[in-house]
Amino acid sequence: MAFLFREKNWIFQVNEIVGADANAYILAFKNMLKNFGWTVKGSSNSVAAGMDGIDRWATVANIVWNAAGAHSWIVLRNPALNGAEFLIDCNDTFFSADVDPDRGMSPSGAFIGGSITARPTAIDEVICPAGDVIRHATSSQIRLHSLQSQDGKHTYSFATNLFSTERLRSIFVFGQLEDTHAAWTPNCICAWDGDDSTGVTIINRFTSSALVAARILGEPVLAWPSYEHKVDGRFVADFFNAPNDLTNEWPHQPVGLVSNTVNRKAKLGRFVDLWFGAPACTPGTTFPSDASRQFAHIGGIVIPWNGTVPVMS
Amino acid sequence: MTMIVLPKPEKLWQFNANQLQTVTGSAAETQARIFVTVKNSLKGFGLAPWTVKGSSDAATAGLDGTDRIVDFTKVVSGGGNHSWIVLKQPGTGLEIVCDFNGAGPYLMTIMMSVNGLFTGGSISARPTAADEVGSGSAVHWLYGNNNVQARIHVLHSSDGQNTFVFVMANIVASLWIFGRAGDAVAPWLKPSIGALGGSAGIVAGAIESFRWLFDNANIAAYEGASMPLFTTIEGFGVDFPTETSLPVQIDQANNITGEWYFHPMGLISNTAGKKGRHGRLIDLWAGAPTLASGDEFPGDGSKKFAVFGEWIVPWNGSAPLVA
Repeated sequence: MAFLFREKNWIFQVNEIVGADANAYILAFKNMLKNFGWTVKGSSNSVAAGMDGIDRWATVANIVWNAAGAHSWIVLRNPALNGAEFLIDCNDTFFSADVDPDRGMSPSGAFIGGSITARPTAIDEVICPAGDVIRHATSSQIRLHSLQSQDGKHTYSFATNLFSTERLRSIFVFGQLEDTHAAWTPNCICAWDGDDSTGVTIINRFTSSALVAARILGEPVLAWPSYEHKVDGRFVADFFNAPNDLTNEWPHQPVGLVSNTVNRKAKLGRFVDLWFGAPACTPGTTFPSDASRQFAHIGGIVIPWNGTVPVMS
Repeated sequence: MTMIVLPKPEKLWQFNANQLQTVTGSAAETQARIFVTVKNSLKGFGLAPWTVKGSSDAATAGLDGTDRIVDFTKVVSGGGNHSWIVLKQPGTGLEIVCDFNGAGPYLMTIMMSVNGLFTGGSISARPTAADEVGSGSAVHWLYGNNNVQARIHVLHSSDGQNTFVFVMANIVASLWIFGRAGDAVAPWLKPSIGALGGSAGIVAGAIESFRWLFDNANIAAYEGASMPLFTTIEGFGVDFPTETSLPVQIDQANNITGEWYFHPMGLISNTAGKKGRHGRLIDLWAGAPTLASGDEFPGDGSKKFAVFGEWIVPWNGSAPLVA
């Protein structure tokens, strides 16, 4: 198993209480990205819209959902990543416990247009698969745990809640991979998912589905997280789901990304400073086993941490 | 994990490659000659060669450092008086005993002692070790009771810690993997592993594929007790039994650069009390099934790596022959 060490320096916004409503989560998610230095290229609050740099999502009341008709959207831009942009489009029915916005990216920052009834589009857009970005218990609050590399090239965000034993309710990844083909451009991926409507855990869904948006050879693809696995298909840390008998250490393993799309088949690279861990590991467990809390385990994901005590609900 | 770029071998390798064994007048002679060639190759490396701890030629026996299997005539098979030999890998201290207690030279019992504890033995019984692990009884180590021309390739690291043997007869007829596991977890005090198999016939057998070690715990290891190991490999999706491994799912050159991948393999134990991932294979990769034996990498003619079956190994720049 991989030895935990950080390849990047990170800035953290963790243990953030965002309320118990899905819209509160969406608002906090947007503000988190802005806190990390992302800018708003444009937005709609269902009353006004424009790609004018105005953030019209001041409160949850501005995040209006509508499967047909006026609704909210926002385009956020990461200036550290060649202007790559991320779209959130609230063109669905709102449920307090779970929401399924259209979301996707333009690696070159090409989103244009948009109105109060239609989202902006980009010629290089890649749209993530449909599915809730969060599904949680509205009887308890959501915590948001986010981190971005200091160079701005990697952004991760995870929502936790009492809804499930593993606490993990949403995964967001955006940015570059490491160990990639030099010829693969743009090196930019995104995924935002939290749908366990079929009863599988978030980590199982993330590891068994093509949820990560990318572009290969000029075309959008949906790629799969890849991982060292055993013959029955489960990643190794999940198969054992317990500490190593010889070392008594919890397993964790690096995560790659693979496209299995015809004519675009390739191992694209590796997520930096993100590992899969054993789902049975108590959420909020930190590593190493001293008080430094340099890494934290959340529902099957292991990430760098800021030394504080992780609070999962 | 599968790397995008051509890997750099971790070891410096010595090669005794492309050794030819032609068909002889009898299947038994051909099979015996192949074994003797392998054995002599192991002994013959300039750096850290294997050594003989002892042997039997069915007439005399002893753990006295004498190699009595001087030629094919001394490979005597059978349940009574028969040949065996104990070989020691210098870089790890592991010993293997090749025991010809089967119906012919194409069968042998192969046992390993990671602590080098083989003792005893006679002209009718092999030595044993308190920590021995292995086949337990005579198994196919070659292409069955056939008489087929073969190419023998023996690779041995200069530090004496890792050894591969490929006997090719247009298929992988025999595959030997002995040596040290990479990145072994610290409590695994003797991280030596061993695997030896034969095709058992003249068509591709289980050893042709990386699945030989991936599907079944065919790697012998020892940590206080027998600890058989599986390999792991990078893959995606969990729809077992649908194939999820990368070599099969991307059974082609990648569409971005047109290059092929080398897939490293981890080592896991599912033995109660010894469960976990404990290390990985060194300088042995799985390749796409589409690749052919004799293919080499990179594409500049330097032949730094060779393909045998679904296995990729460092190579010495010569054309890798497969028959």
